[in-house]
Amino acid sequence: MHLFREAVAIVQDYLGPAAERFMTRQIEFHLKKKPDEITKEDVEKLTEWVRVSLGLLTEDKKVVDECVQRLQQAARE
Amino acid sequence: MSTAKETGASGKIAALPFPVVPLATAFCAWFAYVLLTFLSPVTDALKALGITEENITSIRLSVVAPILLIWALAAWGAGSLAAYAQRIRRTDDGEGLAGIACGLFVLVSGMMLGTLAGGVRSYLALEPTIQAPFTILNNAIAIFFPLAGLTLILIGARRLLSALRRKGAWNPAILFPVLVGVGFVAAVYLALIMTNENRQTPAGPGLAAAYYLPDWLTILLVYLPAVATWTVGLLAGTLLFAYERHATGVIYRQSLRLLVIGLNVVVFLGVFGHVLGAFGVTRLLAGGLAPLLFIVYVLLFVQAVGYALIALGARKLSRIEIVV
Repeated sequence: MHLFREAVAIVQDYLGPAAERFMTRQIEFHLKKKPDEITKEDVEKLTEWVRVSLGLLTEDKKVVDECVQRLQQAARE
Repeated sequence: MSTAKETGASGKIAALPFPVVPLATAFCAWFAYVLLTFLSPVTDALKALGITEENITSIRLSVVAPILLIWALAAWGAGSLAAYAQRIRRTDDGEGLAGIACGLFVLVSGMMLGTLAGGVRSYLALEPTIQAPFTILNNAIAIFFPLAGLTLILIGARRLLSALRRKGAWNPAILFPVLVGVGFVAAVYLALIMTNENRQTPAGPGLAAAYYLPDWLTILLVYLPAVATWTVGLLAGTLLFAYERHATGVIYRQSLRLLVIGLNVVVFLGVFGHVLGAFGVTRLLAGGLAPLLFIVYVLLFVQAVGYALIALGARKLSRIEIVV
């Protein structure tokens, strides 16, 4: 599975149907790339921005940390 | 290109647009209602309740002030949900939410128009020929706007549930308690309508009859559509709860929950409002004006809470769509 699809599948557990739109926006706005252009090298930057943005949506730090860890784990595999 | 850590940057959420047009419309409608209310004559019927020229102003103020709050919250809620639905209109959940937002606008419009028609009726309280047509118009607004609005909400809720593409998300067994509940309330409602002595003729000068229609027409044009409205509304409510329960996304569901609870509060209040109206003026005022005013204030408060929850839920969902 492409990295973007994998990331969306993970973020879906947190943002539901908004996950794909959220990840597309993060990638295009912060990495200046198209979603299907991201590589494993982009994951660190991307997860940092995901952490920041999710932090604006929930005060539950555990949820944010869990999501970021899962994204990092997926990139390592 | 640097990371959030390197730049120490924080993400941002653009300011959400304020629903100016719905709020301005609500304020204009409220202003018209205030004029109608304060220019209405103090009828003999009001005097018989111990209401004098002196205390009528404070009673009127105590009703029009919360109505401004409710209309503003309702316009804010409907406007926020419409803006959210518009933002995600080309997605699976966007289509369903657009139907719900449209239905909510119909509900809110009906609420305002019904109150304004009631205001016109009070303003023309000393014109006996006006009472019947305005009462019939008022009842039609109170029935058919909610029926249309809730039908749109039901269609939207069905689309949302279909968008989940998850088998078993909707359990038809839930229909049984809903229909039993509607059947029970419908029986009570029919009994209240048929035992209302003032359903065709007013209780006194300055008062209006409840329906001004023969019984068979009351059943056809008021009772049956009202029961259909409750059925559609409660069905929509259960579908929305099913969607909220089965949707993925911890953060998404937290925001969605506020919206779904708010919509259900509005639906339940609609049912309660119909049943309360069926008591008729004489029975409602049997215990005096104070208990009736207390019930009205409680209903207004709960209605305000319902619309506030819708607005907060819609705005929280919108934040997910704009955060970067």
